[in-house]
Amino acid sequence: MRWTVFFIFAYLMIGLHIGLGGHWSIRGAAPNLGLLAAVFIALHASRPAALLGAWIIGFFQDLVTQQPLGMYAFSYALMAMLAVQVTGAVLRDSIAIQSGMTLIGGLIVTGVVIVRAMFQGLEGSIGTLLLTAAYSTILSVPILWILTRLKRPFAFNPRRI
Amino acid sequence: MSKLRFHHVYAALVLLTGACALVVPTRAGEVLRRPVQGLFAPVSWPTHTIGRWLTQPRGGQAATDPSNPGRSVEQLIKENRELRLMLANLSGQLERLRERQAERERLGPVREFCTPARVSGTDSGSRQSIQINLGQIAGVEIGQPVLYWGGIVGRVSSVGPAGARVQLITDPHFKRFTARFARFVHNAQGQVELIHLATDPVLVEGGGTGTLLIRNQPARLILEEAKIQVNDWAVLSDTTDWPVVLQGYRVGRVVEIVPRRDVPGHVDLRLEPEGNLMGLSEVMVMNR
Repeated sequence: MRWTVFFIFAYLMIGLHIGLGGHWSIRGAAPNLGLLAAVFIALHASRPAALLGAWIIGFFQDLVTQQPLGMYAFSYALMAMLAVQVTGAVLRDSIAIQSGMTLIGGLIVTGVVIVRAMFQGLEGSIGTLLLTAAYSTILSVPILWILTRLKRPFAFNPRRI
Repeated sequence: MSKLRFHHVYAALVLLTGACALVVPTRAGEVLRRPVQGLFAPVSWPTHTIGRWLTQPRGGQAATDPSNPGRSVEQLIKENRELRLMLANLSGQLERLRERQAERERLGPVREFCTPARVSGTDSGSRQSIQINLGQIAGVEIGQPVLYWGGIVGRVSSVGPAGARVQLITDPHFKRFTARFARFVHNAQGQVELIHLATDPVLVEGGGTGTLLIRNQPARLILEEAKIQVNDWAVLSDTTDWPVVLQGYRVGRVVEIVPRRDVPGHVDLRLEPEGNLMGLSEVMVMNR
């Protein structure tokens, strides 16, 4: 994977996410473009790049939120560990797999918040996080479809080694 | 990097961020966040502006008549705009500058203590906060109140050299404050004025999703004695943490009064600020 393209991509997606967040939210839940970016990288990049890339996107997102530092980096890293198990180009481009990984990523974020609540108290609304996961899953269909057709600049290794 | 070494490094990163995410207090992360406030503004600000242009009526914030919120002023605005187009020879840019100036002037005497700041984005998570384009260089400090044309937005919660984050009053973790109730009425001269209702101060907390909550109030006091009703306003009445000059500023409008089933004879009140705080284009930081 070309890391220069990756960092530009991550910067744009996080910037778009925080720019659009207040305008297309429903009951406080906005689609998580950072998660979609992490799913895209996790499904298409080689294993080391997928794991590290998803973590980096999550870390970028952690820098511009009030939620605990590391929450998104940790969640996206867990999601990427599952995503790298998906082999085969056909499966990785499958809408069902992409949407499924998006939903799993959103649920992992929610799970991290719930586990953290045992130590530090609840920060945020579980309902809002679940709605965000659902909203992101719905939008993952068109957005990841577009990104899949724009993956050439990333120079992903088609054999995913 | 060998496969074995990469996995060691990656495992360390994941464990470190996992520990931060699960057990480390949130404020500990501010050390890393402060220097990067405003980092994503080159992308987020134009996106935020375009999003606001697409989702809100042209010419300013989606407004309602505060003296009679049940009736929108969009018809009046539309008619006024049509008359402007027929008679005026002003450019669209001049019209926008005038409206922005009018929004600032609605702050009243507090205006001289404030610096305008552009909103460049919102929280990247599910919290209620916005990013602004002013930072330490402009004299912005943590804890400074932030205002808008409709009242109080929140406080600066994190600041870097060129940007800052503002925690909204609607955030569930915003420090609770006290407020009183007020109502817009028409006086003898036919002018609209805001009168304070005879109630004790109540505790207001952020409800998330753009709302505020006043919990567990005696129904007798609220509904029968003070006769609080939907569309009444809550105004700041808290001198312990807020400047004296901000006392009386609007924080939210009562949109729902719900009886509590677990505490008979008590009600919860749900309030909403005027306008969408997450969709603001400009705010005023009280940094002077």
